[in-house]
Amino acid sequence: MNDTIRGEVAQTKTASKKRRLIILGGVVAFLALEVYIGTKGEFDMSSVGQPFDRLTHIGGWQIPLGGFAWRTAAMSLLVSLLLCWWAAAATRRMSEVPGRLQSTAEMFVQAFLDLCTDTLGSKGRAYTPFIATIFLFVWVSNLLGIVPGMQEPTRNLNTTLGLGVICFIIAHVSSVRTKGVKSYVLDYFEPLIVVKGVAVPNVVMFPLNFVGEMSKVVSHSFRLFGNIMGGAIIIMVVSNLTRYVGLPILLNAFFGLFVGTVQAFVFAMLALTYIAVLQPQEE
Amino acid sequence: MTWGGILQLIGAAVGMGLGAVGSALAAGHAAGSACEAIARQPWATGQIRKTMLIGQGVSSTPSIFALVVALLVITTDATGTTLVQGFGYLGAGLCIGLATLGGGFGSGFANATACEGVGRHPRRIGGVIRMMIVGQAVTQSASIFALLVAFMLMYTEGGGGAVRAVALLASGVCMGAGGIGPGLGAGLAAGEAVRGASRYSGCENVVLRTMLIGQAVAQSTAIYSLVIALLLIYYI
Repeated sequence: MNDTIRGEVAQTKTASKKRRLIILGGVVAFLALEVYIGTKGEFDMSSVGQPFDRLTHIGGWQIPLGGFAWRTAAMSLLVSLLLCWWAAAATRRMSEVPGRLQSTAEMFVQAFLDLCTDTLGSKGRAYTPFIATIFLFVWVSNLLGIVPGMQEPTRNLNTTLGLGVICFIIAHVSSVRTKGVKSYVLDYFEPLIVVKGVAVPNVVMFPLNFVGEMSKVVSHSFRLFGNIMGGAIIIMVVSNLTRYVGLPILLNAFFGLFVGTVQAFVFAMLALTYIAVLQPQEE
Repeated sequence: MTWGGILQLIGAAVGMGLGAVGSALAAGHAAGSACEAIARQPWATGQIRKTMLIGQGVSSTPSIFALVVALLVITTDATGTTLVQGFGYLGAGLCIGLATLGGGFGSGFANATACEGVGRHPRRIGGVIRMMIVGQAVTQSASIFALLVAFMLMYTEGGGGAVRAVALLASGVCMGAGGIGPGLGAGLAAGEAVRGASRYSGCENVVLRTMLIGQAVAQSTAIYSLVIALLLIYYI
């Protein structure tokens, strides 16, 4: 009895030692790669002044709407593939006693289910997949910048603006579906004025409410874009000054891990809140 | 070096110098509140410190915007800058610098009351942090409009005479000064909403909804400034 326990303890000890070695090796390889990339390529500061990939010419054709950003598109596809792989791997062999991947996925889904039902009540379950997907996509995109040679798709304004427009459309369409068109349109004329005991729509308030709704999209997407691009530019400039020794790793930890996670959560929470505000109030 | 180049560098300095003020004050405000809360409930130190750090991370967003604008202005070649472009850069610096005063300091209110509230009820940390983050994020909307205007001013075309130069500067001042009040006002709303939600349970949804509506009204003045700033850039 004692021997078997001792054997198990010894086994877990060697296992944890092995894991520690793997993590240590990974960190050393990461640092070596970062320093290698830093010393190898001459740093091009002129690209800092141009925040977006603007125009691409494909076979003599100049595509409007700012062209096609190959790098951003490739990186977004990579993020999507990573998430698909994670979801498939977590749900492939499901069991009563969950494995490591499955229990991570279960914890994640449960956390977002609680979040959505807290905010939206009984309707929260229907919106959970959307909010969780938005969070995962933005989060993994933000973390991708830590890997040397990779670029966050959220650094490009077109990605964040696209996500913002998706959230906007979903919020408004679900509002029309639950409230009905009349009540939805009347909301733009709030607060109603009362004339001789009858509530009349206030025309003066329409431009204000309308611009207010539109400005939500702008602030929602520019917030994410500004934070991620700010972090990327700061890391770029400091890396150029210190030649990738020491400091950029701390900056990567702050801007990549901390700001990236917080901003992904902010983005998902605001999407959820914008949906909730447009729903009819439950008494 | 041209006069335009001189104005460009002054713009970067003004933007970052003013932009650092608000967020720093907010971080200090939250840290003071966290110290007081820890003194009252020493056993909740971990939760209070976590709340403080997350909030300070979010409230440093406006000064990150100012840093972005300043770095972009500095790294653009200043030798061939025309006078009109120079005024554009100065306007961009003033715009982001002034607007982040309000947005930065305003997002400290929610952080301070969240630290206090977590000190009172450490178990409600999840809901309090959620409310705090949403409140702070909406508080910073005016700073984000300023970032938008600053980008437009930085990448504007260099032609035109003295009238256009002054219009660009005026546009920056308009959005910058117009961003101070909405940032502070929306921050006050967020602060009191977090205080209420941390003290009384079961009212989070109504409080959140009312806070967002109130903040939207407080920010309508920032939208007026945005409209005037855009008109100054594109119609003069």
